[in-house]
Amino acid sequence: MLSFDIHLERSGFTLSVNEQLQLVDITGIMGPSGCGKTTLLRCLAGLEKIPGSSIQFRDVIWQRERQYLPADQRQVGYIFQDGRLFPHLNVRDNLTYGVKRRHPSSNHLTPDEVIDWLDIEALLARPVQSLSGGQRQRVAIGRALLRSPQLLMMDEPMAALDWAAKVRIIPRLRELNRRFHLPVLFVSHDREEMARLADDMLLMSNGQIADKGAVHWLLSQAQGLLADDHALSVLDGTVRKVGDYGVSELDVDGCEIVVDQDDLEPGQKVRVVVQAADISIALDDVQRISIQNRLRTTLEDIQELDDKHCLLQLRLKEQVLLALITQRARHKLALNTGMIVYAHFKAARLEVQ
Amino acid sequence: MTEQVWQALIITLQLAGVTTAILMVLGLPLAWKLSSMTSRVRPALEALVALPMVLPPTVLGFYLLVAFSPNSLPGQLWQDITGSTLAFSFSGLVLASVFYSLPFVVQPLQRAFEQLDRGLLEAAATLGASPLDRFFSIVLPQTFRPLLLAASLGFAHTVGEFGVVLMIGGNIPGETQVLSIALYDAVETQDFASAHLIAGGLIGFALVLLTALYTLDRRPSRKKEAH
Repeated sequence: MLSFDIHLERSGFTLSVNEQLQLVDITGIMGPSGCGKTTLLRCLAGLEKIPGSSIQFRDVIWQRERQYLPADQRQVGYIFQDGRLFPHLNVRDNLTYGVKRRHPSSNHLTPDEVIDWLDIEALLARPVQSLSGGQRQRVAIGRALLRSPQLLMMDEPMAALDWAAKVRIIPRLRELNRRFHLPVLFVSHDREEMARLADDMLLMSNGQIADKGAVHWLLSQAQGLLADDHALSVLDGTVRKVGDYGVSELDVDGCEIVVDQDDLEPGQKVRVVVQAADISIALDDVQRISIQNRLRTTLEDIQELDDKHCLLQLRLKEQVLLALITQRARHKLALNTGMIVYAHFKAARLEVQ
Repeated sequence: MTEQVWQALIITLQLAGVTTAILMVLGLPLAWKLSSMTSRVRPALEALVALPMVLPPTVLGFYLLVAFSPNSLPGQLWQDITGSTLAFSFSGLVLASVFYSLPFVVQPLQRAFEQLDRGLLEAAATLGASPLDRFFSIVLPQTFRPLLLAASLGFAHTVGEFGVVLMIGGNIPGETQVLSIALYDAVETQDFASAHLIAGGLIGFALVLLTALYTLDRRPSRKKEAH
């Protein structure tokens, strides 16, 4: 449990947040640039001076009135957007910097364990200047982990990475939470990253918390703050069958979804991210069609985005899917809430939990 | 006379060594404080530190002499504690040199600290390093060269001082007579052999030191080598 009541005035900007986070899984803090999400994370880590605010993590008071626990005593791991590896140390010495300084009572991850997990054995003797962006971030993650933190904070850890590097690092970040039982606070402006990584989410705007809730729910609301033409939805599913034609079949709320991926295990729980713009709508149950994913849904809500587009909120059994279609299509199909519609989409981009 | 030159050399090296050591101890925190200061007092403090660079050394020497006098509070205090006077003593010379060479140590250190990536210190803090630990494990290794430069400049500048020493140290061979004063003395007494020895030696020393410093400054650091 992390509770905080933070007020911070900066030239032309006010951060004012009061919140309690359970911090079990991965909690995302999302918002546009300048909304204060990084400042909030820095306040929580003890990197900003915030007199008058209060922060408590579990039973330790981090800040209250004049009481202030400095960053080096908070036992948090912090991964910066730019890695911030120490240039005068090689990879190995960067990794072990926090080991010598960690709290004696903390759970002990061994360097070997972390090095092995992050697959950075080959980099150990290298100077950090010679690393690629993805390698740097992996070392930064390892360094933060080896400090044996009780809470891991990540500020846009993937902002400097290309898509391929992101796709490689996301499963590791998810696994990190599970494997090391480490709650994670994760800041990003990118909803795709949120969809793939976070479980719960705080939505920030203008220095305040605008909304909060489970990622699945918060991202998939046609009326929500994130309802725009970049909308996407997150579906949970279970792998049913793997391998035929290099694709896998998932069970999502009793419906079948085919994904373009065959490195999964039957029974595995997975998370599917579907872009609202990738979905097309049919009123009839078209059987003979090349598109493999065809979900029978109930049209729950229609949100007009602008003159041209609208967003449809479609319900499976439990889960919700957003579809972006044109106003023209909506009127041609005479769509109304309550109707049964079929959502079609091609092989989804998949995130394995 | 040669013996006097050797004595002056030893005193000069002692003076420069002790002064540099004190300056590093004082200069590091002072430069750190100045580099991270945002208050409006900062320019005033910077001016105060830089003062000895622009004033004639005799001005500084004059006020120090006044302060060292047993009739003044600092001089009185010193005499009560140590039983000797500051003026015309080696300790007095050290104290004067510390003031005189302060900007030459503090300014390069301050520049170096200003250029230091403070983000690295935040990273170190989140990894459990206390402020002092951060200073030794991050700041010092990152600013090793400017540190060496500052110490060398402080040393060289102390070796080269004349006016202040003359005002407060006098010219006591074996006690306060440094090389620059011995040179002056040698010329006065028309001992040109000694004068050549000292003057030539000082030029040689300065050349070697400066060449070493500029070589160090040129050599690409490990940071740049990697690219």
